[in-house]
Amino acid sequence: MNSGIGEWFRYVNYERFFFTLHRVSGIYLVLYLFGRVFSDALLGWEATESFDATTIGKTLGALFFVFIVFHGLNGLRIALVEFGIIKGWPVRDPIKPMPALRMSTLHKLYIVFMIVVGIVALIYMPYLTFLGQHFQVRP
Amino acid sequence: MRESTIRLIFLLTAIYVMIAIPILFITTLPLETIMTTNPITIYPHGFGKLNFNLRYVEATIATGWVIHGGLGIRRILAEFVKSEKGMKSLNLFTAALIIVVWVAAVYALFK
Repeated sequence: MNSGIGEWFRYVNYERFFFTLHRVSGIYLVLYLFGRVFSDALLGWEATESFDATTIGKTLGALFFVFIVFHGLNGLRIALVEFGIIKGWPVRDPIKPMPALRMSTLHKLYIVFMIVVGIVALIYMPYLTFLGQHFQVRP
Repeated sequence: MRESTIRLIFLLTAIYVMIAIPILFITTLPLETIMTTNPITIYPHGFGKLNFNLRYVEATIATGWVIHGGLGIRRILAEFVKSEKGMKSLNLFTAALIIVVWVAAVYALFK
């Protein structure tokens, strides 16, 4: 469907919300990881590590980990639906063209699991990024 | 290549990355370290410093996410493409992006 970014934010329901967040998190992950790769390749590991130690570096890192947890869990949900392991049937609102899924119990359980893990990640990943130890290799 | 094959590669690389990274953490480090350390200091530099051979594992993971990320960008950009010619250009761009980033990732790991 050639519909553009505007379509991501139209007729928002939970499925569309997950879809949009999946796209936004995916773009962020790509930019962050590609940025790290080129920083490592061109400036060296030390430069990347010293940037990671700054407040901006830690904020970007925390956001990266929160997004990667959501992106991974939602991506797994999409893969499980696509492989037919947890089911979702497309339904359409008779009045508004709202895309939505009628879910199986397993699918609903998975979404509850996703939300719980997502909330934990939202708290724990920034905590680890800002207050966690710096990993050091002991000789 | 058929779109369904591209979709399968897209999903399989994602699943590989999602499985390989936690396995790398769990098999290499004690749980206490994992739960109390800033993960960005562990992956990828920490593993690379811990054991040089782990860089080969990291390279396979990098291959997975570079392909997944490249195909993800293709998927998003494809929404704006309206012609066959545009799709061909997009495919070329995606292939170039994957190759450049993959080479940079492997170079960064082993240099």
